Order: sequence, then structure tokens, then C-alpha cells
Amino acid sequence: MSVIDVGASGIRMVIAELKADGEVRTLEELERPLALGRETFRTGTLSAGSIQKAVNVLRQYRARMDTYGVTHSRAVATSAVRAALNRDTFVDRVFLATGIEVEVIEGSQETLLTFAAVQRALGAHPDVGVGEALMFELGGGAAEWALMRNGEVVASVTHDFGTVRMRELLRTGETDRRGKTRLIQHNIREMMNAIRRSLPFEKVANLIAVGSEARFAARALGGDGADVVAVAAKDLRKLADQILALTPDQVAAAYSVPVNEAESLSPALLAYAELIRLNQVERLLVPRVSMRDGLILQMAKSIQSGSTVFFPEQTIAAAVNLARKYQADEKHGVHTAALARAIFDATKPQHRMGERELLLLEVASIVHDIGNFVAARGHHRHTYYLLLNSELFGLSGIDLEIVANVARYHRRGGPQSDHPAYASLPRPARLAVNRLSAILRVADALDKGHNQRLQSSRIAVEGDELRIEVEGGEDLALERMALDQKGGLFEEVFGLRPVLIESPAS
Amino acid sequence: MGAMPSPTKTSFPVRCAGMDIGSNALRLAIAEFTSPTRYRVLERVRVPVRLGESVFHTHRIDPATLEAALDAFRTFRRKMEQHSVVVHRAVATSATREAKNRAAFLERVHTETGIDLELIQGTEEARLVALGVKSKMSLEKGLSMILDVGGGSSEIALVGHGEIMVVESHDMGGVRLLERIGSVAPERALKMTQQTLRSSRFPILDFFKRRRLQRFVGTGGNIETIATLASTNGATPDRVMRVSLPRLRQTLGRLAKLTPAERAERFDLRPDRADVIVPVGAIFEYVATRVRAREVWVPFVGLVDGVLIDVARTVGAEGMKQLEVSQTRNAALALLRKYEADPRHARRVSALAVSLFEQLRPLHGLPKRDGFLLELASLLHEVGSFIGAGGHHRHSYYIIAQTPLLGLADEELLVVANIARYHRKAPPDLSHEGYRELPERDRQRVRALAGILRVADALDHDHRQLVTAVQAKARGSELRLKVSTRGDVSLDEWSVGNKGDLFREEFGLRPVLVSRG
Repeated sequence: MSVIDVGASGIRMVIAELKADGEVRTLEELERPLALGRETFRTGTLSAGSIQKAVNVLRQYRARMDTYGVTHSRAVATSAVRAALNRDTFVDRVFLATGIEVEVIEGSQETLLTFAAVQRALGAHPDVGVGEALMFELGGGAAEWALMRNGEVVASVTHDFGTVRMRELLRTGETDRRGKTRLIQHNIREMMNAIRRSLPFEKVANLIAVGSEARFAARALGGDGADVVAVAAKDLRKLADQILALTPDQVAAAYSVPVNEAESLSPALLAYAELIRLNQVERLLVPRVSMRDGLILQMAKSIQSGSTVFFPEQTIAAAVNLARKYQADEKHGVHTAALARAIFDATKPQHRMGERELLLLEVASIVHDIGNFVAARGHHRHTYYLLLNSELFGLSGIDLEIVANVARYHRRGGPQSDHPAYASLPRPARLAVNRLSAILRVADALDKGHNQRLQSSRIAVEGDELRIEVEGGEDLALERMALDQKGGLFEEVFGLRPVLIESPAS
Repeated sequence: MGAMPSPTKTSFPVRCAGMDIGSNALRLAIAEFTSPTRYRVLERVRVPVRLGESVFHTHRIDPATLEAALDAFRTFRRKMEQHSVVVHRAVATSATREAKNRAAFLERVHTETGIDLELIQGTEEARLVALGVKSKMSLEKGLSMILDVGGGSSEIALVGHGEIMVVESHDMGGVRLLERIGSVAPERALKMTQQTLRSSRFPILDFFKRRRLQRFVGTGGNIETIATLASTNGATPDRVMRVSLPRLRQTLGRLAKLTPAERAERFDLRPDRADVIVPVGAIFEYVATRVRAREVWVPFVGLVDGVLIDVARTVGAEGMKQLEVSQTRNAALALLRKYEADPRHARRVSALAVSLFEQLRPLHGLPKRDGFLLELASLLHEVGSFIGAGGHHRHSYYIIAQTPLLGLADEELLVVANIARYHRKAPPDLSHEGYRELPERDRQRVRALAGILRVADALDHDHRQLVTAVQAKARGSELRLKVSTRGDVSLDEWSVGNKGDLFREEFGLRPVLVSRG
């Protein structure tokens, strides 16, 4: 197996072997510094020269993969390529020149993968698995944050401020050391305020940092060896001061790091120290893992079990958190999700969708009413806007677009090719939106009263009907009316008419 | 009559007309004003054209209804001429607002009758209704709620000591509920309406879990009819009536048992009243119960009276506008709280922005009202952070543009949203949809005001309110900003350099800090 990571400051590859017993052994790690991030964040695009340099590196990686006889491979690009306006050109050029298909992934996916690696690395660490912990990665272009509760990720968020931007700030702004420190601290404070608004935590017991700068700090301050290294704020500040006094070349020589990485070290170290202070913890924990370890784990899992969904509970938890943030009726959302799931399960032969789509359906069901927070009028459209601008743990960009569209179509007009947001989706995604929103509308209608009245329903396909059998003598007029109004799409999409049937109480 | 005399040059007494183009009927009221607040109604006209019916169904005003509406406008125009009306205002609510062919409708009304029809949002509707109510009864003491239920929407306004505090608009009205429920047996319809109400969210009502309301006021033709039916001694619409909640329930129950035809027959109701009266009554009953009101005050005034009073005020006093300004500001502050934006930063930036706006008047020459729009945009510039830090200026735009603010016209709201949007990142550009859609005059305003906002925001860049006041002076190619501070402002100095770009482009002056504490 091999994974390639086209990052903001370099291109890295890991080649590993999956043994029959499921154990993963790393065979080789390669790294080539290339400051793609600096270029994109400054100019908005990648130049032909940089693309050529990336192609050259990837050609060599390709040769190495062939040497090892790699059978499963994956290449991903993060913020530097993600933020480039000509990202498609980059992806296409790489493909034409090397045959490597680079996948541009979202911040939330990066967090997911890194988390997978951290969870594994910290499994042996009894202290970290208790209480609330914040895990973060100060990437080149953005900072990824995840909140863990008792060892499980419950929410995550991306903040668009990373080490490359910190460096830019330092260059254009202050000249003296004190000023630089203040500028970093100020921006970190702002980031922490934003994180506090987005993630529901009281007081964290542990602060976990991942990323190359964190690993550098661990190496410089904690020595090699341990799986997890703890570093203190005052040591980080001291180290940052030492580095600030040097030029990048001197830093590179003194600490044996690539020159372009040297520049982001001091801002990152100052940021760590400030984060320790702001969160009132004693130390920063640094596990020795990266997103690439997560990619390898994911690939191993996919080879072994064919599963493409990771941590679905966390994604659901993130959806519930989002519903809470926007003060949606959480019980209604969760109940709608349960009903949607039941309909999904009963109609598998009709829709032929898998566990990934089911997850998207459940998420959309939980959050479909959040737009009410903005205004009741047109709230389905507000839901769409809010979702498109939110991070949901574990969902890729296209996943989120599907969820946003499905939620948007929970009421009023159904999907239509003259709605730009829908029409601009690729065809498979449009089909998923059609099917999933058809199911969501039925599920939503069944809890029209927002009172979770339909608890023990039996759902089955009979002939050309989707029969929803409900026990007890409740008056179902409201639900029937809602079903009449919202069930049309279901009938159009699946050729099944949803009907509510009261079965006598047993 | 197409061209009206300029309102400000007219003096009292003056004859004014107000028109309410609702979902269930079109109304005209003509009155003679002897002062901005004293008036005598000369004539009221109500034409039962149900615009809502086709709009809520097909999103269009169908041709037959459109012709009927135009006929009504011709009648209105004739009446206004008969009474020598000099000033008028016509507002249209949800049905027209939601009609896809509204532009064509407005155009025909204008060319055929010379009446400019103005589309208003729920908040403006509530403000006007409150104006009407206040002309009839005092809301000065304690907390009052006004519930106005029309054909297409309901507006709930909370009034504290005479000032509107919050308005909540729901797309729930008599005609719309009828459309939604369809034709079912009468008693069933009431039950289904009640269930629909229970499943809807009314955030404003949560406010009353622990608070008590002094007065619950109902407006709209339906509650007036119910009040009349509930009354034992025959009503006189000049009085303010009070209906106890048990009486309201009883009357509603009586009506709900009958078909619309039977209601019309037995209680002598107009057919277009007989059907909507039950769903609308249910809304009143539900809200009154939720806020634990013992009775409903029915002042027999409505939107059309508010429009009338509002138009008369434009004739005379500028001073009355002050009250509205404070109501709009309250609404902006409520929005700020809802989206958990840092209130100290917001207030400081807004104070600095307004101060700069005043000092720079010779430079920009913009009217006072623009200063107020700048103040609102400054208060609200960071609400978008609630959605996400990345691109929060765009989120601020979205939120503001979607949240009508009391007392602001739609165009003004969009100006505020755009100013807030441009408080950071890319400057205004025609590739931005929200900016492109503004008329050229508003685009200019947005550029100038956003230029000022950026400078003010930079002065409190680190959100610590270190800059307490600013004095601006143009010298050469620079705008020299002398600031009073408490503490070190090196950061803000850096940031003014960065965020002064738009200002420089607009005014040709580079803002620089010349700090002196």
C-alpha cells in the first residue's frame, strides 16, 4: 500500500505493508519540501513552475511505488491545492504526467484521518481517554480542531488560519520580537474564541497537537522514543525565542529541518504556548502520528472489510451538535432520522444505496430544520446555506453538498434542474439527493406533530405501496395530511405510494 | 395624480390615504390630519380580492385576480381624487411579495393608476400595525403583545413601554392555512390547525415562560369579527373591545362546528370571512394561551391605519423618526445577541465609525440616514462568525439580508448587509452577486461606508477597546487619525495600514495613525 500527501510545505509518501493478521508495517517514508502553500496563499494560484516541480517529485514517487509493487495507492492534496483557483489544472496535469490521481480533500477529512491515527497512537495512554480533550493540527493553510470526549471525537471544526498565514503576518507586520509575539498571541486568542463558539466543551483535560511543528517540538524538547511526548509552555517559549533570533537558514542548520519548515516553527511554537495558557492545561501532548498514518489505516480497513464509512457515530454526534447550536428541535431531528433509517432499510431493493448514503440521510434528517434559526420563512433554504458553511466531522465536501441539498428539499418544491445548487452537482450526487430527499420528506411527514407519536411503526413494501403500519387508535389526520403534501416525490422517485395504516392495538 | 406634491412642503390640515394590499382583501383609508397624530377618517373601502389564494397555490397572481385587483386600484384612485388626497402610501404584504409575477403586477398598477405599490416585510408590517394600535390605546405601561393575523402571514410584535422590542413574522395566515389543510370536515379543520400550530416554532413565545404580559392585543378583520360575535351587547367599532379567553374559545367552538356556508348564514358573515375565521381564531387562541393572557384587546385598527398615520408623519415631523431609529437599533442589538457576537467590539466599532462619518461629512457629503446605516452595519459586521470564522463577512451578509430589521426599508437592509460584508477581505466587486444587484447609487454608498467601517474596525482590531476616540483630519494625501487610547496600540496601527485600502481608493486619502494617548 502507498499513500501520498501533497501538503502546503512538502510532498510526502508512506509505503506500507498489510500483513495477513491485519498488522500494518511501514516500509519507507519519503519527504520532499515544496512550498506550494506559500504560493497559493499569496497569489491564489499555483504557477506552472511549481506544478512542474510537484510533477517531478510525483514521478519519482511513482517509480518507487512500482519498485515495491504497490497494489493499493491513494494520493491526496490538502489546503495548498484546495485553495488554489487552478486546482483542477494541477490535478489534471499530475494525472497526465504520472497517472497518479490526486484527490483534493477537505479539512474535516484531514481531521478524521489524523484522528484515526491519534486514537490508535493514544490507545495505550490511559489518561487521554478520560474527560474532554482538544486535538488540533496547525496546518499550513488552516487549523483543524476536534473535540474528544472519553477518547471519542464528538465534534470538529476548521479555522482558516495556519502557519503559512502566521508567517505572512510576521513579515508584513511587526519587526521587533515582542511585536511578533503579540501578533501571534492576538490571532491565537481570536482562533480560540472562534473554536469555543463552535465546539461544545467546558474545560479540557488534555490538549493534543499533531503536525510537523508539533513533532519538531516533541523532538527538541522531549527526546525521541515515547509514543506521546508532553511539552510545557515555558520550554516552548524559550525554544521559540531561540529560533526567532536566527535566520531560517541558521534554524535549518541548527535543528536539521528543511528551510521552508524552519520559517513556520517559531510562530507555531508561540501558538502552542498561547494555547496551553488559554486552555489552562499544564502541557501539550504530541503523539507521533500524521494524517498519512490515518490514510494507511483507512486503506487497511477498506481492504479488509470493504467499509468506506469511518466513525459514523462521531458524524452523527457532530450533526446533533450542529442541531443544538442552531436550537433546532433535537428530538424531532433524531426521531426523523430513525424513521428515515427504517424507510431506507425497508426499501433497499428499490434504492440500492449503501451505508455512506444512509449516513448522509441520517445527518440530513437530524439537521433539516436548523434554518429556522435564521428565519422561519424559507427556512429550508437557510438550512442549505448553514450546512454548506459548516463543518461536519467525517464528511467530504461533496458529502456535505449532498446533505445540504437533501435537507433543503425537506419541504416545498422538490429537486429541480433550474436550481443552480442542485444542477451543479455531478449526476451521481443528484441521484442521491433525489432518493434521499424523497425518503426524508416521508420521514418528516410522519413526525409532523414534532411529538414522536409514531414509535412502533412497521414499514414494508407491498405491491406499489410503502405501507407504514401504526399501532393504537391515534388520530393520524395530521400525519396523513403531511404525507399527502410531501409524499409525492417518494412516489415519483421509487414508484411507491406511501400510505399510513392504523392497525388495531394488540 | 401620478406625481405627488413633495410631502415636506405640505402643511396641516392635509388629506392622506393609506392602502393595504393584503392576501385576503385590498383596503383603503382616507383621513384628514390636523396634526401628525390627530385625524378624522373620511372613508374606508374594503375590496374582497383574495390575492393569496392563487399565490399560495401557484406562486402567481392569476389573470382574473390581477384584473380584479386593478379594478380595486382604479376605485381607490377615484376615491382619492374625490377627497382631494395629497399624500398616499400603498403597501403590499406576503401574497404580493411571494408572487413570481409581482414585478408585472406592480408595473401595471403604476402605469394604470399612478399608485406606487411598496412591498413590505413582516417587520415593517408589524411596525405599522403597532402605530395604528397606539393611536387607539395606550401601550406605554408594561409589556404588550400585538398579534396581527392576515391572510398570508402573522406578525407578533412585543412592545415594551410604547416601543417595539422584537418582531417575529410567521408565514401562517388564514388563507394559507386553508390552502394547506384543504377541504375537510369543519371540526377536523380546527383540530388540524391546532396541531399545525403546536408543531410550529414560535421562539418569541418562549420569552413568556417566566414573564408576564400586561396586554394582549389582536388586530385583523377576523379577530374583530370574533370580538363582535362574542360581545353580548352589540359592538361599536370605535371602542376598544376586550374578549376574555373563555369567551374566545366558546365563540371559536361555536363557529368550528358549522360549515363556512352555515357560518355565513347564521352570523351574517361575508363568504370570504366565513372560511378563514376559524383557522385565524385558532391562532389567536393558541398564542393567547401560550402567553397566559386572560383576554384579548381588540382596538379595531389595522395595517391600513398604521400606513395612514405613517404617511401623515412624513408630512410634518422629522422628530418622530427618532423613535424609529431607536427601535431599529434595538432590533440590531437583539440580532447581535442572538448570534453571540462580541458586543463590546461591536459597540466600539460602531461608535468610532459614526464619529468618523460625522467628521468626514465635508469629504463624503452623504446624508444623515447613511450614517445610521453605517452604525447598524458596524454593530452587525461580525454576526457571521456564529456560522463559521472562515468567510464570516459573507455569512454576516447572508444573515443581515435574511433578517428584516424594524424600520428599515428592504433596500436599506441590503445596503447594511453589503457594508457589513465588506468590512474585511475583498473590496466591492461587480462579480459579487449581492453587490451587483444593488442600484448604482447604493453601490457608491456601500463603497464609501465600508471604507469607513474598515478604518473603524482596524482601530479596534484586537477587540480590547484600547482606542476610545478618534479625530480625523485630511492633510495632503493622508487622513491623519489622532486617537485617544488606553494602552499600547501598535497592533491597531499595523491594521489601519492594512485595512485603509478601500478608504484610500474611495477618498484618495491614506489613513494613518498619529497616536497620542
